[in-house]
Amino acid sequence: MNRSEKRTLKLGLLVAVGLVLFSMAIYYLGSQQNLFTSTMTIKSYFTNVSGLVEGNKVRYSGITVGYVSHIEIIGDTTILVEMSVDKKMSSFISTDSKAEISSDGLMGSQIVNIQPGTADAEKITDNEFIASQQPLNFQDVLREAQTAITEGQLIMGNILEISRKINNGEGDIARLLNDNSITTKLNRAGDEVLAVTENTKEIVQKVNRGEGDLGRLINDTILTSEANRLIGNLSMISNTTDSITDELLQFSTELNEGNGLISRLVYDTQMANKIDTTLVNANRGIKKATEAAESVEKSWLINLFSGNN
Amino acid sequence: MDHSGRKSMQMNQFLTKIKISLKDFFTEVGEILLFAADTIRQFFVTPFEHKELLKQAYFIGNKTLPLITITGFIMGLVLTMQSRPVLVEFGAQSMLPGMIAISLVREIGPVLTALLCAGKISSGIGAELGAMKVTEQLDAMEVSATKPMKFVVATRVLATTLLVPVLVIYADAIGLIGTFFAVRIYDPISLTLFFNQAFDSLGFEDLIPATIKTFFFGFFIGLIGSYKGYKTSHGTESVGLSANSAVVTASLVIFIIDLLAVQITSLLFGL
Repeated sequence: MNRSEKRTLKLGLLVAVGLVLFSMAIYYLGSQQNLFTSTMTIKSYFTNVSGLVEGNKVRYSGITVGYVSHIEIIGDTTILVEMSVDKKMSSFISTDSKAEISSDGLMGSQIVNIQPGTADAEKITDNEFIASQQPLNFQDVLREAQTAITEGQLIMGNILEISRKINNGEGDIARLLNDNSITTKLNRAGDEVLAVTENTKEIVQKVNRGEGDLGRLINDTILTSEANRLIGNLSMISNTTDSITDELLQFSTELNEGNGLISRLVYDTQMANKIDTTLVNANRGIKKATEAAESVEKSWLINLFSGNN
Repeated sequence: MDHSGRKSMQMNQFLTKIKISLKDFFTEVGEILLFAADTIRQFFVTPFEHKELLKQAYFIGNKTLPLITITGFIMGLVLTMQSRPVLVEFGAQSMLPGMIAISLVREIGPVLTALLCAGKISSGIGAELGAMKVTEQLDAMEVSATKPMKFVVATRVLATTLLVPVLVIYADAIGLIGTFFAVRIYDPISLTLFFNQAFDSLGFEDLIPATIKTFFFGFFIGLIGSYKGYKTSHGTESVGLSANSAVVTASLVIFIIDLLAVQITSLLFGL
């Protein structure tokens, strides 16, 4: 083998090996998308991983942040899932975040979806655990759907029974729907309500126009001024009454405390006795005068001169 | 010689054969690379043989166009009819135009057209150059100061490099027409609706990587055909061998390029 052939062989070897390595490298890059980013591990326990395999995507609020790096069965109901997540996401994922296994689209592969935790919770660190949420099992969904359908059928049966009763005229609603006289009565009542409304409208219009006593009462300002004047007179009368009352009060005080004739008439018993005695005497005088008069009348002398005989 | 001695000798012979095969393989890879480097160098050496390039482009297009037309049409038709039952099962037959369009543009159109070109063009170039080599026409060219690498090889390689992408796009279009006919057998779909559904699913991320790889397909189809023809040893028997070897090697290279292209596309476009 000469020198040129050797050189060609070396070139061929180099390129062929290089090509193989290049192919392997790009396929490795494809499988390890986080190769050039620094990652951290987040762990979570599940009871059922629903077909999750190593390499499946990990999403945080819908953004792909890593992949499932390891799955291990710990116990009969516990499966440990380790996720390799971009370290930059540690500032967003908190310790109370929850991992949930869901499907990537209707027929897509399984993914782990990390749901955000609360803002005041501590941020996650490497190799820390987060709680998991059990994946929505399609069988469970079907079971619930079956229950819903059964209940729906029951409801439909009830609705059917109600509609049958309504059609047969059973119950108040059925009568309302089937009995035409109710409608007629309702129509009449409606007409009456309409008539009342019309009347009310007319009354209101009249009132607005100032017709009638109520209209004048509401619209006429003379009544208000008359009323004002009346109130003024009443006020004046009240004032006069006040002054009369004062005077009466003063008179009564004078009567009670003063030395006038009336006061003495009321309060002086001595004077009363005197008057009483005077009156008795006067009565006696009047009686005597009456007897004297009668005597005179009966006297023959008088009768002679008066011509009564 | 006892039994174990014979076995050891057979083993040695086997290992020697593998060693020679590997050596031949790597030497050939190296030679193809040197040949490729020489060819690419000739692209930039003036004056360029425009007339020869156009002549080769015409021959390549003219030779393969009927074959690609028929194959492309059948490809679209058969692919559609084979894919339809699966989609019907999901009630998603309306996705058929889009799905077939993506399959055709991204993979089946480029690879099948390239394989057809490898069979038709690469073998043709291999046989033609092999015959020229056997009849010492290439030597005569060199004597008459006409560089065969420039006049014969560079023009053919450039012609295939430029023509294969065009043929691929043509095959894609014919394939879509075949798809339309296949869809029409089952569903009364209008041409406008069909093309709307097909092109709605397609994006530049489907078309551009697929077109870029067809340039590489074309380059290697021309290069390997030329190399195999150029390296033909003496004797008319070698011409046939060169043509045959050109087809096999070119087909293999097409698949290797496709293998790399799909992953590079996936990494770059995330598809």
